[in-house]
Amino acid sequence: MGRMDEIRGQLKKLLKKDYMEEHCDHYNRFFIRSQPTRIKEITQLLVKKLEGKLVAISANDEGIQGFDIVYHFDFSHQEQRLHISMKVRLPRKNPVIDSITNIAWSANWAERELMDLMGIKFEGHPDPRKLFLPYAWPLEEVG
Amino acid sequence: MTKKKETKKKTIPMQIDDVVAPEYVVPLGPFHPALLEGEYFKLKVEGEKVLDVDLKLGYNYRGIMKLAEDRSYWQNLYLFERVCGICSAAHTTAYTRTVEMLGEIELPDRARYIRTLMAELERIHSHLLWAGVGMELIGFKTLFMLIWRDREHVLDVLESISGNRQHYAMNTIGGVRRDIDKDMIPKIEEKLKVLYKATVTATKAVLEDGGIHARTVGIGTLDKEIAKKICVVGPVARSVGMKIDVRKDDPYDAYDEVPFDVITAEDGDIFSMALVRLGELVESVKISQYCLDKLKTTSGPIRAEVTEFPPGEAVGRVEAPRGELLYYLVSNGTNTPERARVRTPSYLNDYALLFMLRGQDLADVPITVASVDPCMACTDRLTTITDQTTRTQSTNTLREVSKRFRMK
Repeated sequence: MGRMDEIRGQLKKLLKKDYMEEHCDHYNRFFIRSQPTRIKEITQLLVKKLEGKLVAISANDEGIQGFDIVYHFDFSHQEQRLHISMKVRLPRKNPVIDSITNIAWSANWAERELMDLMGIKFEGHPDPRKLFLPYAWPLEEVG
Repeated sequence: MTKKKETKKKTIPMQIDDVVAPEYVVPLGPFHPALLEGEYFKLKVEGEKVLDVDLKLGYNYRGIMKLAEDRSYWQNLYLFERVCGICSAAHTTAYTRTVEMLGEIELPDRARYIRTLMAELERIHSHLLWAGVGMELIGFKTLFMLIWRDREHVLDVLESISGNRQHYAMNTIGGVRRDIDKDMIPKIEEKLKVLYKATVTATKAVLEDGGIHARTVGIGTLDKEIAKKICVVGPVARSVGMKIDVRKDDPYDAYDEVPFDVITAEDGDIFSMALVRLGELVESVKISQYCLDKLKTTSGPIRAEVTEFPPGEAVGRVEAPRGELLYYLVSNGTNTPERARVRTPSYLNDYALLFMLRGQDLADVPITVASVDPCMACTDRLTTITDQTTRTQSTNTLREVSKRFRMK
């Protein structure tokens, strides 16, 4: 548990009251909730400073409560099985969040996919085109 | 008008000014003989050199993740098996592992060994397939034929265990569906010996042949810094010296007790990717042998009883032949998952192609694309058919397909 304590300490120091640990299972997976405005700082800390890997971004449609964006940070190359999922919640009416592509390059396609499939806007994305859908969608015929 | 005038000029052909036509965009795909699946590369070239690359995906987008949300956990087994034909065992292992993590289900010993055995046999078949395709793309047809001949042996083994050459349908939540008979084990061992010999021969050919060296050494090099930044996985990551392997970092099934080495190379070119994959073949044969030895001595059930799926969320990871495969499931306590997310290895490795292709010759593009073993079936995840006149969407039933294609 050594590495996780260190990461937890640094995250708490950075986020203070925005840090909320949801749960951890006995497979060394941690689920942490924070505020959408802090995502750039979090990525800066976890990817640049602590050398974690951003391996995936997923979004959960929580209905009237909005969207949960889950950033999956992998630390298993530092400690066995360690994996941190950062969750932030966006409002349903205007789901906008800062893009982290310039900090973690691996977020590029993941953010473009979420823009396609869930309609979440990533502000400041360097290449905000469609990834899976046709470029001119919905004007272009599909199929 | 100016163009017409130029063509009418009756002078000897002169040098074309570089400023007039310095760059040209060459489209490659979405359907092209050099690519095995639908993907669209836009290559900006100057002469033979590729300056910049753009990639468009989604030509076979099937929306598997959305489909998974209206199927029960048991039905999803069949859906995720069909995400990809080559790594069907890896996908079901990842899915079942994630569900088992949700329910905190412990696997019986025998199931763990059978799962590991299937995963490794699949890795052998996938890597041999890759080696064959690679050889064909650089024009070495003899080795392609020889490698694919040897690949038949592992497909025979998989068929004798599961009844299918692809889509083995072995994994189920809490264990495996079929047991391996005691009389079958010596037959599999024999085939493993043949496979070991075949790997040694193929490795020797790759190491010694001058033609392969000329087409692969120093071609399609991935920079280590960039590789770290874009988080490549699997053999591509190991070919640049990153010692990452989910089987070691996040052991599942029987991998925490099986002794094996993580094969790495340093250069990041196509040659080192080939070496990593060929080295892994030897390791896979060893792991398979270990599992067979254990299967001889262990007895007991092959599946645990699963009754309910508690609410919660889980992240499951598995080392597929192409790299780390990540499943994220959110459960709300009912028998269907609320959200399923599949992050396939090709999703990260294809992104690396954009960096690898820069500065290459146009002739090296097909082999460079093939070098990361891109799997579009994975990246674009059931095709629905839209009737153009009535605008209704449907999927083909098995009966319709067999009616249309069965030989009479």
